[in-house]
Amino acid sequence: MRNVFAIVGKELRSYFVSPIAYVVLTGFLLLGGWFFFNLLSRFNLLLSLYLQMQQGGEAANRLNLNDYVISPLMHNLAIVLVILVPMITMRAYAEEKKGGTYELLLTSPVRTGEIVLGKFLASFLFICIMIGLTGIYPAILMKFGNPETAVIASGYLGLILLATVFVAVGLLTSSLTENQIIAAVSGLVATLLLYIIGWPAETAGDVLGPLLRYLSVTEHFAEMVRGIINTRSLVYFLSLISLALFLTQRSVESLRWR
Amino acid sequence: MIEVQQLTKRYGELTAINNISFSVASGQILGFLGPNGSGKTTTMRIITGFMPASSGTVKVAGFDIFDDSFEARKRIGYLPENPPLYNDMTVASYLRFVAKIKGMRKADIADALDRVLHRCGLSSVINRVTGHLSKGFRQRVGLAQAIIHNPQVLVLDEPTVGLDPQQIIEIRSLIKELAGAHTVVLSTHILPEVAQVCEKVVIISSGRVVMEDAMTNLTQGKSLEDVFLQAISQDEPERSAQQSHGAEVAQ
Amino acid sequence: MARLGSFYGVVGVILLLFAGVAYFITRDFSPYVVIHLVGGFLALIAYFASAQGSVRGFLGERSTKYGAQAVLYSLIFFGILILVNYISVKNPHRFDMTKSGIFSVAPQTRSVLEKLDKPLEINAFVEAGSDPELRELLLVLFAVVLSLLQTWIVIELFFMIGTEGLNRFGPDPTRSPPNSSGPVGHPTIVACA
Repeated sequence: MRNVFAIVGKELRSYFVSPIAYVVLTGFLLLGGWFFFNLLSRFNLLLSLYLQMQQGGEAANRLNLNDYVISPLMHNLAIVLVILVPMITMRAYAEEKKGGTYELLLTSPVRTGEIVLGKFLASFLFICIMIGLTGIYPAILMKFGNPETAVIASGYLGLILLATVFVAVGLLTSSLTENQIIAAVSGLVATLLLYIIGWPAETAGDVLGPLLRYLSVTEHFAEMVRGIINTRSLVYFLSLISLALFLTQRSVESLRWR
Repeated sequence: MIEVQQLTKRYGELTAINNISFSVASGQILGFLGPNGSGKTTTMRIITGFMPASSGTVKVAGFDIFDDSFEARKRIGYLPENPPLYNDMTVASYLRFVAKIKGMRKADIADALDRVLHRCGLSSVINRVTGHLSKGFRQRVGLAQAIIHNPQVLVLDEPTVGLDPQQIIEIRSLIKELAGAHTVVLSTHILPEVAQVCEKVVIISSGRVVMEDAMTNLTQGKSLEDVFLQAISQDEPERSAQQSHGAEVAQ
Repeated sequence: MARLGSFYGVVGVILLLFAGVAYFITRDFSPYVVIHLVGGFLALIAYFASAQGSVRGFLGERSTKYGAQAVLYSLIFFGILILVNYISVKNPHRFDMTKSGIFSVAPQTRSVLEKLDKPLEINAFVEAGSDPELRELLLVLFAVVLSLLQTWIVIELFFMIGTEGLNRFGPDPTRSPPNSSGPVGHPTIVACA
């Protein structure tokens, strides 16, 4: 386990001593802030409009912070993550291979599982920091309004699980190549695929339809944003994460016997 | 201490090394000589466990590098042709990281760090980022990471290439100091270096061992250059025969 | 010529994959599916027939043993995952985090349901389901995307094998002999999703 901590420490340090962490975090929060601002402005506008109108009372009642601000914010952040996460993970293995330090890791008494776990935990912690920083938006809402906090928590759990799946997949593609561009692009295609695989679900028939819907990361995520934590979704997310980690370990291990 | 037996490595159609066997006794310095492309680096990568052989075995300190990889790797320090430095880490934090992953106990790390910093002349650059170091210093940090965990076996791939004359002298004397306590395999194509530093010589050409002997036996009456060129050229008729045979087959 | 052997193998697998996906979507042995099935099998035969070293040599190699082992472990892992997911799907449990419990069955409803003594018949009035025209459109779109993807893959493979081998992606330090100018052996496909 010590090796895992050593690797986690090294990876995190290298994120934060290079511009990478700061560019990514700033970019993510910039976009998040823009989404939040726009959504909240629109919400206020709608609220004041409905209250002015005579029959507006009913419509105004339907307006609530969770459905009209938090939920769209979450979905927008998820889309940003689809694109951003592969960029964060692309260097994890590819850079080591190019730079010759992979040789150092593989000729040291370190198990491949420790390497995989260490890199994964480091990226996972980074993602948690990134998403955690967006907690300021619900904090603002909770100070000035009264959204349902349990639903917000459920949404954030979904977002973190979604991001973790993307991290695991991005690390997998990074481990398969030494070219960071290939790692990023194939990671992006994979995350995008997971995001949109549910699109043809309605017209795809009795067997394929529900299967596609189950495989779609969006479906499970949307449910959690709505406030439902389903054990099926938890199993789904954890399965994807463990599958990606397993395949990554196989990929690193394969150098031993190829 | 190191036993290489009938080692072969194939990359698809290409055979990089073919049936190589040699051994190194404990505390010896072995010079691994050969022209460029002869398979030196491939052999070293296999000995250190970076990649597997297609067939054959390597035993380091009694442990098979393939079956007992973990135990073998604990006892090896490896300096590849390009030192495996993390360019965004400082020298000190990099060496500490290497010490940790080589399995050193936490309590021993501080002393070991001091020791190698001093021994490799790195005291002036402790907190410099390795990416900003000159080639000479990078090589020294590379050597430091190879010895920090005090391994029984050191594998050094062309450790003096690209260094200026003074640095070369320093590195060579450092390597000579390390012998005795450590077993060293040193690959190079700089012949004077081998003559000065090594006790035993293995000459490899086109993936085959063409000579394996103690230094003293080899150079009786002849310079190392002559021995080397003779060994390579002996291989020549075989090599050109192979090539023309290959051409016939292709037709 | 021997280098092309692996090429046939990969092309064969890809063709069979496309045949499989197309059949799965359309459930019909259309000319597309048949052509790809036949082409795939022919390519695979060419692969096994080409001089990839003797089959026995291949089977004896250390790398084959471990490769097969790795595939086996992966299949087992995958199988376990599918089993776990299947069980989970059959036994879902929801935690409704909303304050008013809008996604759960209310206690009043529960007590009403308990009092029922006959099966309940529900008539639902909903909008029509899948639009047949939309379905056609989606299928055509899907077919076009598949064909483009195929063409791209074939062209890429052609250039990959034909010109510089895999050096196109930069030399892999563990797969090519270091600083030699020999040909890069054993073509490996870098998996792109």
